Amino acid sequence: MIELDKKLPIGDLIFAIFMIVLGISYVIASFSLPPPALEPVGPAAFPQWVSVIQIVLALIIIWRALTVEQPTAKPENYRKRYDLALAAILLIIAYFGVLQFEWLSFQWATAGFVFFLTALLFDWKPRKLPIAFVLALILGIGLKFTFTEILYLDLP
Amino acid sequence: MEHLITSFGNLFTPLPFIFLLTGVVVGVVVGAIPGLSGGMVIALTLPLTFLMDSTNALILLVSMYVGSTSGGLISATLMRMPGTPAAMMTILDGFPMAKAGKPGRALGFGIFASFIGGLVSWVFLATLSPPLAEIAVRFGPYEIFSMTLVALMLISAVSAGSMIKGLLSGMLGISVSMVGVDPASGGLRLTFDFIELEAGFRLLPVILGMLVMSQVIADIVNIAQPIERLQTSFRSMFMSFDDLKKLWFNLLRSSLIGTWIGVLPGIGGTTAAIASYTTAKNFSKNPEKFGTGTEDGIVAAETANNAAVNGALVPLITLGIPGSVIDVLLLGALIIHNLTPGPLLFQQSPEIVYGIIAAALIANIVMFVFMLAATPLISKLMYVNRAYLMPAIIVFCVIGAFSQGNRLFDVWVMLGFGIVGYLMQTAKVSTGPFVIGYILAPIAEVQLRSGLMLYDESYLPLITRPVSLAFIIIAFLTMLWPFFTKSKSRQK
Repeated sequence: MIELDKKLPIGDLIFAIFMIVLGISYVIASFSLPPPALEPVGPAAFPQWVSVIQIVLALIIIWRALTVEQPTAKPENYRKRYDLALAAILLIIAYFGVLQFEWLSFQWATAGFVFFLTALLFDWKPRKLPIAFVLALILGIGLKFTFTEILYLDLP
Repeated sequence: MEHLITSFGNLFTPLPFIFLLTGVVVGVVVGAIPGLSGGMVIALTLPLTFLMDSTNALILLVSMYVGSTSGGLISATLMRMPGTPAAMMTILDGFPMAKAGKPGRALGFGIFASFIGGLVSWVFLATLSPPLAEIAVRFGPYEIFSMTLVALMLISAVSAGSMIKGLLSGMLGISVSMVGVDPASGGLRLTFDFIELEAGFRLLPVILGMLVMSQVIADIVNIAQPIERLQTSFRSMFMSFDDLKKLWFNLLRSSLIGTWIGVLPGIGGTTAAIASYTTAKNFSKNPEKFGTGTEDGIVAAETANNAAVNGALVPLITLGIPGSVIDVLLLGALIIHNLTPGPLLFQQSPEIVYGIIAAALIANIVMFVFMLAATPLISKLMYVNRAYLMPAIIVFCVIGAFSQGNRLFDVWVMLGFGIVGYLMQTAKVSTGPFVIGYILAPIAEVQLRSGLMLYDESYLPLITRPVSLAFIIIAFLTMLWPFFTKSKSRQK
């Protein structure tokens, strides 16, 4: 019997639903694969087997999430900074976008990213900004020089 | 033997020794800083090894592995935070002993135990590996398939938390590995008409995302977490002869437990430390002292987690099966350097295999000397604010993800897997099985399909060939084992 008022493990449910959607899309995509030629398994069989197992396992997780009593999590003695993590991810996306569309070269895009992220992680405390600035220059210019001039690796 | 002596000789030439020293120092420091782990630093170092000689690259990575496993004990003892997951059990007695005013003694016991664990397990690594590789070289595709199946089962069975979640994490890794070129026929599959997916999800973006980016996101979320600090001196870090007499049996037993658990594919140092600690407690005359700052607890945990490092190298170099998540990265390093992991590695590239074996021993000795000398300094470094490190780690991730294929698409893939990995962490789904499933699944698929081609489309040799049958039975028992232990504990 499912108690509607009990706290549901949302993370488990999202993960399980994601796995089911992924499994179904794999099964559908595998139907368009060519039939086996050299051996009886072929390219479609593995994706199908794996998808079926993963859908069954995901259904077990959903069933458990809805029926089994979940242990109450111990409250943390500090504030979780989801806001900061979200802002950092948006900053990372902006950094990758700048690199993707070549709006800035690697060293300046990196310097800007490092400065803003360091400042963000220190909640824009004024006394940390000079350190963020120096760190940004060292990483931006230093890494560009090290990777292209010493290690001969291509950079974005 | 000849190859091993040559490899030792090579290690004492300037360049390889500098790599070894760098690996140990970086590994110990990174291992000591909570939030950074051996897996992270090895994943970040992988792209730097592209242009290096393969032997030197493996020497560097193996030294980092040894260093990071040992470094974890410093923060576990002084901050009650394991620098690496394998140091989890060290906290139980290391921190209380340090808090009672004896941090030097706690660290000294831990460092010495790590050293002994590494030494004993190295003997097994050096003596077991060559004959095992000689046997394994005769294995056909079905034997390798069934062996990989055991590895996949073990990973899920021992993954932290729920077994179902561990299995599902492994399945996600397998699903991700199947995108791109079908390894047996060479045709495309599961690309959903995206040209970028035709090359599949490459190793470095996936690993960097799952292991490093996800941890960076978690660290940002937990940035306000208070850290307990101990300000004390580091006197009396050396063990006396009386201490040694009292603890020699524990050292030996924990070394053997650690080595054995390390040899089992996919388990690694954390389980080794738990098993060894529990055994030491069960056999102790004073089990009530465990958890209050006893030497026995520190020794059991630290000996076993270091012994597991060399133990885990045995299946890696002989069979191409990773013994832990970090071994998956070493396996990746072999692939990136165009080497074929598995028993043939002994024949085709003996300098690599014996280079790894020699590096494992010398890195252990260097780790012992370095940690005894530099622990007071490292203990100051580990309080460095993580906000300074995170931007640098992200930039290294970008370079690493980009460098394998020179495509910005891989950088986005890395971020995507970072977010998925973080969400998995919050749902208490271990990312270890994902990584191992991602690496092992293509091996299993290729071997099964090769076997079918070789044996006229018959599955029968899977159970008629004795070695294959043995592995299938082990895989089956491994799958059932958690259910058996669960029902037994319910009966109790």
